[in-house]
Amino acid sequence: MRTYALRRLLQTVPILFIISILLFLMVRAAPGGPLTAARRNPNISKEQLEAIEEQLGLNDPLPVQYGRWLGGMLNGDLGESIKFRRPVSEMISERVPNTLILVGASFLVTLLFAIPIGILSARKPYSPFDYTMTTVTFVGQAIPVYWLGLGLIVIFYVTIKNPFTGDPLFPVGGMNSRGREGDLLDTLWHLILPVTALSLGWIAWYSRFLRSSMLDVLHEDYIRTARAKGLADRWVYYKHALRNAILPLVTLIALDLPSLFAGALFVETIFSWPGMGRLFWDAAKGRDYPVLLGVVMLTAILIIVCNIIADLAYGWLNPQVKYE
Amino acid sequence: MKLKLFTLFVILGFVLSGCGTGGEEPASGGGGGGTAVLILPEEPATLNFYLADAAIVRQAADATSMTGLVTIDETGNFVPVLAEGLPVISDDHLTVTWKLMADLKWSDGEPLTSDDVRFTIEVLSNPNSGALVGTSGFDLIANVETPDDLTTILTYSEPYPGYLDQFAYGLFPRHATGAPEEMANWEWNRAPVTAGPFIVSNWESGKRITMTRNPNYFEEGKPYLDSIVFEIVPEPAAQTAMMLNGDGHVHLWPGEFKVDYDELLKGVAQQYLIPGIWNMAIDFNLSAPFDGDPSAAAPHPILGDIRVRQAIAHAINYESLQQDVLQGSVGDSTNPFAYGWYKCKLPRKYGFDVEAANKLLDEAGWEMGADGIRVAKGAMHAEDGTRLSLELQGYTAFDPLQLTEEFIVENLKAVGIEARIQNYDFSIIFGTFEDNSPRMIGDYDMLIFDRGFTTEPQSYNFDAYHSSRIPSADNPTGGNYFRWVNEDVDAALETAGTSFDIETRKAAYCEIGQAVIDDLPQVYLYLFQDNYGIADSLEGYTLNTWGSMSWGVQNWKFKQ
Repeated sequence: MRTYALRRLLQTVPILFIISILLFLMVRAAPGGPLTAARRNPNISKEQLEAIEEQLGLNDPLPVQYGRWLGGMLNGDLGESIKFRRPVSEMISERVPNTLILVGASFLVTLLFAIPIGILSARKPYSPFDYTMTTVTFVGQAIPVYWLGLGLIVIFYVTIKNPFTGDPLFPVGGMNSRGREGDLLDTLWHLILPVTALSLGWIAWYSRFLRSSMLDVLHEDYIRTARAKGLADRWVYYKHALRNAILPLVTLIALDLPSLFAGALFVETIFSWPGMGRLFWDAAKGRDYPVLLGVVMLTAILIIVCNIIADLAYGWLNPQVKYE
Repeated sequence: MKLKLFTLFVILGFVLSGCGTGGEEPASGGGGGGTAVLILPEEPATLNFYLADAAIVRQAADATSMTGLVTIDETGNFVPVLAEGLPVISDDHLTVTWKLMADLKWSDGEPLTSDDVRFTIEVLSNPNSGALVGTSGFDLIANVETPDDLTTILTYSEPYPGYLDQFAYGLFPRHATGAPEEMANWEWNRAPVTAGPFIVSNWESGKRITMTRNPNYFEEGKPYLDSIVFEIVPEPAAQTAMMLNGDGHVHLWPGEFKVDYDELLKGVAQQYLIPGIWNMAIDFNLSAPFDGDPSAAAPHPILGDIRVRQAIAHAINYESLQQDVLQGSVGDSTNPFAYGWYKCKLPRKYGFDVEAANKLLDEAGWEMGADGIRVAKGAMHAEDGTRLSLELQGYTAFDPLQLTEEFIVENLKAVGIEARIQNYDFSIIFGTFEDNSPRMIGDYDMLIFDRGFTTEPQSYNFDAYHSSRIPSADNPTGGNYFRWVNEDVDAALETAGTSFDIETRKAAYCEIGQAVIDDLPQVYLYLFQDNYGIADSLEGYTLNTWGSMSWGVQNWKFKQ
């Protein structure tokens, strides 16, 4: 397994190299550039624009610009944002904790709800509980997160107020109240609506997945054997069935892990959450190449690493899998 | 289960809202003091106005770093701020003498002197400063003398009519910034030491910028508020919800039309409209497209005949466009000079008149075809059989523009003109000659977009209308992409650019405005207005076309 892990890691080097070229070209192939908006600003002379382009090195041939960027990357320097004139690494490191909090909490809530719902639905398929959960999860999957987010704001920020203080039940957005940075309870209060909006769809998706995986496993011979041995239902479900049924879910979770870094654009936008999704989107809109490339490249690295983790975890959980 | 979850939610909310808001600073206070919350849709990249091309920067910078020698008030006039009065200008217009008010201090307590004016000039005249805006005319300042702490004497190499505008956007403190060529990376850009009413006390990236009162602000007793907070809220519905709950006091560019906004926020806030600088017009290409020649030599086969342009102008129902399609959110505009000191109130010569449009097209040799689109028969420049079909190019992803385009297409169809909408990304429409932008190489029929200029209109208008500014390989940065040649306009532009007499300049610009109406290189449709939502609890707010949401913030206070 160690050899396998090492081999996979080594393979990532050429893959990342190719990805870096592709990403660089794709980002640069998009129409426009960081100074497009400036071009129609009546206050900016054409000479000034040319001087800035020269200063930023945007007039150099693409291979030269790529080389400069790659060289910086390899030295751990992601460059400087064209718009904010701040180091990209500083901007990313400001946003990553915020995203980890939002997406991490949503993941946790998702698993807390999805696993029991999936198991219970599979234990009693076609029961009233299963039908109710099927309906709820389908609705959960069908509701656009944007609509759900706005709905939550209307209900819990605008409509329902705390009768004692007259304050809204939940804040409209943001990570903390003014002057209360670092206050855990306050952050928790701000987390509830965005986490609800983000996890509802995930709960639906994960619980359906686990239900069907459990149902498949429950028809296997070894389950029948376990039952024939006279094992209690609890043991059959939780020791024999769940361990196998959860395998595909682990892969799914591992593949979803990069979103812990990449963020969730819609929820971040609706709830004014300063995460990676918004950083990426703002950079894409403004063609802030260094920020854009920094974010997508780090996401690409994470996706590859998480894929390897998924494969390794699969083997760890299922001894039948052999790494040759 | 659902009900239980909902109950859990409500209980959680009660518990946490108690904890959550307990320590929050009060959003507002009675009379003097208090905190006003200003809602911004995105985070400003910097508080250094000169580094930014985005309007969003000024919204916050006006409250802190943009206090200059003068400012432009709501009537469009220059008024002194840090200067004792407007400067004295010599008869030959080459020497300008500024005097600072006595005893001015920067927010850190250091004295603000004529040396800081000199330093500001050093920075803005340095080609490597990285400044994007506000540098016009600084290369013309040949000499700076500072005989004492209050006096700055500037000698220009040639007369420069924009000598006031140059000093309307803030000064730099020499002691608290850095080298001019390092300006883009000054720490000052995010936490400026300033002469303005507020100073940054906390900038939480992506969340909010908090500013507190500048203890050394020069106006006695001002600002009235203790602090202001710029909350960054990208979602328009969430912004309006904040205003509704009283958590916001000034709302930049609300997404709702005024009628709907005022109804929704009755008793809490109202929306106010002021003329903006963005003026929507259809531009005509007067020269032949797709002939490999960007010059004005050959006329456009259809638009080269002024009667067709007049018919297009007659075909548009301006009132319905402004009032019905855009719900009164825009103002009327007939010419480029629709606001500011140079504003020209000129009536529409070719107003909405379908009959007149049809008559003109008949006379011009365009017969109605079987499919309702006219066909050339004896037209001035087009071969017989040519369909009266024109491409209308705009840019994508701007709802008011798309609504306008669709309305124009319907209007033109009613008189037998086919307009084909072709929207491009912003970067193509406003691309360069080298990028083969259709506008620059002259390969288009009609363009539609909004354009604007500032208090000093000369360079923009010279570039747009002077016959020497037609883009070509030799002149790739030219802005006269209509390819309009009018000697009277050339002369008027030269007068406006050399005179220092406001009335003479204004008359020259009005002459150009009238020529645009007569000659129709463009037809002006409407003027966008800036809209702000303002809480009823706030008073002392001044709406200023030339400022931003936080212009005049030192005068704001909460109603008792």
